[in-house]
Amino acid sequence: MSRTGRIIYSIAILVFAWVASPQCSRADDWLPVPPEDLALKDNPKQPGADAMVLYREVNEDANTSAVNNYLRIKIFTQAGVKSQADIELPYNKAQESIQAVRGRTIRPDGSIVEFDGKTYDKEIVKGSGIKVLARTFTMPDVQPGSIIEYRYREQYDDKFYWTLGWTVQYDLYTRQALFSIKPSDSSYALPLFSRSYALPANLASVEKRSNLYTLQVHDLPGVEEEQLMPPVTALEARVEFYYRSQDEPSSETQDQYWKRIGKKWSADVDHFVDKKKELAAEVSQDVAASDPPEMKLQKLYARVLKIRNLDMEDEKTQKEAKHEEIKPNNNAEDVLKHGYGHGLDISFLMIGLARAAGFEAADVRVAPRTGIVFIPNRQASSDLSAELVWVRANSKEYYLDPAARYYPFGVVPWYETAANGVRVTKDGSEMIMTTPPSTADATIVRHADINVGDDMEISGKITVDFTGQEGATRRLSNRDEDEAGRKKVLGDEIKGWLAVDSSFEVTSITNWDQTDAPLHVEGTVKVPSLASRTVQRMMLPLDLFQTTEVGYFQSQKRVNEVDFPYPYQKVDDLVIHCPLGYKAQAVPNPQKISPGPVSYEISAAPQPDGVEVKRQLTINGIRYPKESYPALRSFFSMVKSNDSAQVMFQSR
Amino acid sequence: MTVLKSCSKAVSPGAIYRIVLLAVCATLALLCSPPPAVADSAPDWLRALAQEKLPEYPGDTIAVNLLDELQTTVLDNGEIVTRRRIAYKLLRPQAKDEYGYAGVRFDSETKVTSFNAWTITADGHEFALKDKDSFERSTTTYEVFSDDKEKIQRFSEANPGSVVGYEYVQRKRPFIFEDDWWFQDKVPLRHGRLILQLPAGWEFTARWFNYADQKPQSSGSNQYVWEVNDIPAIDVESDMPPPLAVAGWVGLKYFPHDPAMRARTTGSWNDLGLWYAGLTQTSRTASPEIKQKVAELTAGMTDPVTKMRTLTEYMQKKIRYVAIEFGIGGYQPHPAGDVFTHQYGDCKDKATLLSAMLHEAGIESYYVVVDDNRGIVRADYPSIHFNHVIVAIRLPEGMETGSLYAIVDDPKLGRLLFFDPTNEYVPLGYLPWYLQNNHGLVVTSDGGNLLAMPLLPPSTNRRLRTATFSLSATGDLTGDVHEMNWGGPAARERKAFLEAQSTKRAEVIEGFLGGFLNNFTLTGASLTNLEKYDQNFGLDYKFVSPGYANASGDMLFLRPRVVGDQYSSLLRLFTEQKPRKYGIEFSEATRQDDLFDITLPPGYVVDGVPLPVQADCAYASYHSEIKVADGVLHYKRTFEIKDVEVPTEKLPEIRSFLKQVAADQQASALLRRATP
Repeated sequence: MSRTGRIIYSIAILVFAWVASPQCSRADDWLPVPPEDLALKDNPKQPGADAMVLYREVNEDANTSAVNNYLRIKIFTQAGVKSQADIELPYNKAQESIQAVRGRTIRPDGSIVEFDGKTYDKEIVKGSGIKVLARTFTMPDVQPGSIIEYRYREQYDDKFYWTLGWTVQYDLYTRQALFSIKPSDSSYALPLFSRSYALPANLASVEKRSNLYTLQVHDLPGVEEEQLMPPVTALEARVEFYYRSQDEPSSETQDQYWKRIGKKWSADVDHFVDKKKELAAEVSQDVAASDPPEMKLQKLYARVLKIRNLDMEDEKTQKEAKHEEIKPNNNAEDVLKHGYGHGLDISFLMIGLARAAGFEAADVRVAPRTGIVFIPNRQASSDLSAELVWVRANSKEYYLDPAARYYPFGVVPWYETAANGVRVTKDGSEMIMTTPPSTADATIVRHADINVGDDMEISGKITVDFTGQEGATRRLSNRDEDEAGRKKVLGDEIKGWLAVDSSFEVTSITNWDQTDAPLHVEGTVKVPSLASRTVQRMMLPLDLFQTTEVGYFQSQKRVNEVDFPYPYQKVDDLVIHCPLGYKAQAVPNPQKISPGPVSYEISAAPQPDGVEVKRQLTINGIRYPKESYPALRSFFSMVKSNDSAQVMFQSR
Repeated sequence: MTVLKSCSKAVSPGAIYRIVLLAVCATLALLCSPPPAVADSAPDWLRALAQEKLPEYPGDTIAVNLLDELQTTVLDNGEIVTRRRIAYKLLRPQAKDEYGYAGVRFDSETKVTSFNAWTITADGHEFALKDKDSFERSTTTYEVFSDDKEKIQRFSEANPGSVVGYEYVQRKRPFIFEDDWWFQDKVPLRHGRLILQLPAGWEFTARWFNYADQKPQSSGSNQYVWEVNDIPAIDVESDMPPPLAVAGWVGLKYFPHDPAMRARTTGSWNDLGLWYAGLTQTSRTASPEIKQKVAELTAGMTDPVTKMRTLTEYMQKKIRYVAIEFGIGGYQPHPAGDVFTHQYGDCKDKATLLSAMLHEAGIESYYVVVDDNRGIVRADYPSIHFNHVIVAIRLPEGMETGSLYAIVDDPKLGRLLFFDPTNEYVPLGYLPWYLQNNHGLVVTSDGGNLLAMPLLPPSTNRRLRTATFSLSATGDLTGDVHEMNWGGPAARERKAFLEAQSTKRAEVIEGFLGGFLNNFTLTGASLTNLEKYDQNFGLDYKFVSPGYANASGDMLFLRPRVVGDQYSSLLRLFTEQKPRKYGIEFSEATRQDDLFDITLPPGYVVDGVPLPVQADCAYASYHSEIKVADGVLHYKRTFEIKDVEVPTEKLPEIRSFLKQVAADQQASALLRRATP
């Protein structure tokens, strides 16, 4: 659209916005359809898209507890038809209703097919006073080239209305959007505040004029999902609205806010652990006075890990809780006495015990790396959804998460590493970033001892040690499995590293409960079709363990940065015994590739009856800008090439 | 019972969101559950089952179905009341996911009048859940709307050692007087009981499938009881026939005393055809708009095949798949005029509109009701086991059929060309793989006839891949590949490319190449006839693959089969420790050829090549050979699947065959540097 066209269009939109406002709305007030939109074949700003939002409007009015929505979408492809023509609007019937659904399809020639107004309530779930429905409808005669547009109102029951927010970023490219919210005019209403997240700098910020918040957005791409990308929630632009209670200051600086929040959280901890005598008695049972500080902490951590974490179990009904006689924990003593608790109880207990043992210990709250990025100036304590324990022993600082249960001492879940947040103190909060993850805290060590049979079939033994994050995540995700279930899950995972027609059966799993020790898996392997033969020669690629990472880098194109959850290392030792009468004639040359934070080396050494292969792959960094993608892609391609290099055995 | 509730080819758009929402709401429901008033108590029948000593089961058994009891009471007015009792003993933690919930499905025609569930824990504690504790959800998947719902109870303490059970009573008004009892599932069944109570004067038939015929005990008051015990579990295996085609079940048909109600009993395929013809009697009436559209689309056309192609393509490309179903709407299509106006519909709607349009073009066609899982429809048991509708087009006498393959010659109706208007990518003349080697009930105004739909020959589902490659002395490979696809392979390729964003089509090719090449860059690609469904589909691509051939001293290892895998991945089916119980089902018969010319680097000679392969079995064949001439290595192979159903006893044969294919695909030629 030309600049003049855009100005005219924007004026039309503003006029429309006024006309379509709740007090003025008429049944079929649609925006004019510019001929250039009808003729549009593709999104010039994002070529190849299936569809794009031409215009979107969200108007919320706290006085009527209603949100009016309007969406106009241009369809470019059949895939766009499939993804956009059927609409599903979930809502909770006890609290709101979907009203005034209207729509139409505008064919590429400008002719219009009206939506017949038939909508359906699909029951998502109903029971115990809850009824969540989805209002569904489908647009008529949608074809590539069509424009569809529809409007609806979310009408909340006054009792359940609470100011919402704007998810500014749609899953499609948005050419233009207008958001507004009119706070309550009531003199009893609390003042409304807003905070934004990830709004691109070139977009206007939220404006407030005469009791109306507005935001205009243009040319905002949707979030494109790729493998190894940051979490979608971390990328999505949005604006939240919230109230502050009357006892909260209406205006605070960032420092003032976090000081106030920190004091409150600190008081919660102090109150919970205010059982000095009982905690001291427990410490005296768990540690010896002569223990070095770190050993003391390790022992206390091990003690707290024994507390049953109710958050890791299925939600209990009242009947189940009664049968099990589950009681609430009001303080650290209760947790010790009951032997169970929720995650927060367990973290607080760890703080209490550490303090009772003479350490400085505090509650730490961070924004986990699975969600949004922590921005202190947003003044949103709810962003800090993960809880850890900070302890100082002598001059050394430790971050611990005993509520995560399966992590060795000193290792916290990967999403809590290099995470930003606050450490709470009596005087408030101190901004911190938790310890960055280390390669040494996530290793997979694999040994294979295999024989190549006369029929070229490979058989032998594999052992795998999962250490740190690698062991903890597997223990955590399979915690409800029995022995047979664990064998199946881990066996399937290891089988997934092998050639597609391989079989692998786990014979033993050890150290399942010893979280400080590597999770050790042993099993037997058979691979029918890895080796090949010509007359008097046999060839075998080195990649018994296939290069799994390369699958993330097949595409040449990349939109997002590359985000590994944590750094890791894979160390392999592969001993190959060739059939009787053969000897290694040619082995690949040793290779070492180390472009920056990723490195790889492999070597194969002839042995009297075969060959031994040693390999090491190390990923040190976790976040790589998208400009690094080609280099990473090239690195993993080279890794795969070298992994699949062949050793040749010659008949003696 | 498997019912005809539209086809299942569409993808659920909001499945993940629904699962999440369901989990959230289930949690809310738990939190909102009322406090217990009195001590819970399980019924005696469940207590008795909990006390029973069980036989030894294999170690991987996650639960045992202690009881599956279906009591069916047919009322004189044709309504049916069913009471079902189900009980499981949970043996392993995984049972919680699959058997930790009780569920009963219902819709506007089937009302649940009571629904109770209990748990008896290993230590004897009893929990009870009543109807009011249940929650409901829609079972809609691909439909925009359907009135199918499910009531669910989450068992308390569904842990290993617990016995869980539930009982529900359901009242339904069946469209057809037939019922099924599926008694074999993924866990062993200890006791199964089917109780049938008929009104005086009513009769019944009972057919047993995948299980020996059983005689009922009769109490003399028109009540019949069948019992089965210790039924083994179905071991679900990859690429096996559909589980429903191998599970044990009983099919019941009821014959009312009142002749006026007899029309709802379908003793023959003709009866079923009549019933469906009645349902669809007025559906295919063409509206003026339809007539106008047909006239517009077929203007100037005289050749019936051209008209058929035009109208079927219109149906595939313009009429969107949308299912909206209430009650009988699971079976009955919307009128053709409505489908045309909205430009959307489900499988039976699309069949309806196509049939109406063909009629306007002077071509007759029939509804064909099918099940898109092979082996569900039994030729010797007329029943309503269908889930999909297609059309059979009656070909005019003497018409040249040329490239129309999906034809059956019916003695009464003449040559019928089967076509599935719901499948967006399989053009007229071909048949989607899931309908080949399957059965379809052709519905005419005076009845119905079950016909076997053909398995199309390998030559119709073909891929020819030709390529020229050039190898450098450093092992880098430059490739120029040309693929031509017909039939099934063409439809699958089109689907992959058309359902990808146009900017992401390169990723489809990259994903394919990534399966065979360690390191590559796609340097060019083009598609031919992507949207011309009646033409063969061409795919050309170029790439460079640095280090494709591994170097070792003076040697280069070159794998002549550069790209493409001919089913050797099926060897994974034989890697489980337990031997397979069921056969393998290929999707379709096919022929695929690779002809590769690889120019060798100057100064290198061939030091050894893989031996030629001549592998043949009753179901497939694979031939490959390598020739070297004038510095070019010529690799040629042909792979063919001739039959799609491999029975269990023939598995060793197919395994041996696949091993030969895999070995050839893995094999490398050795090149040696001849000059220093």
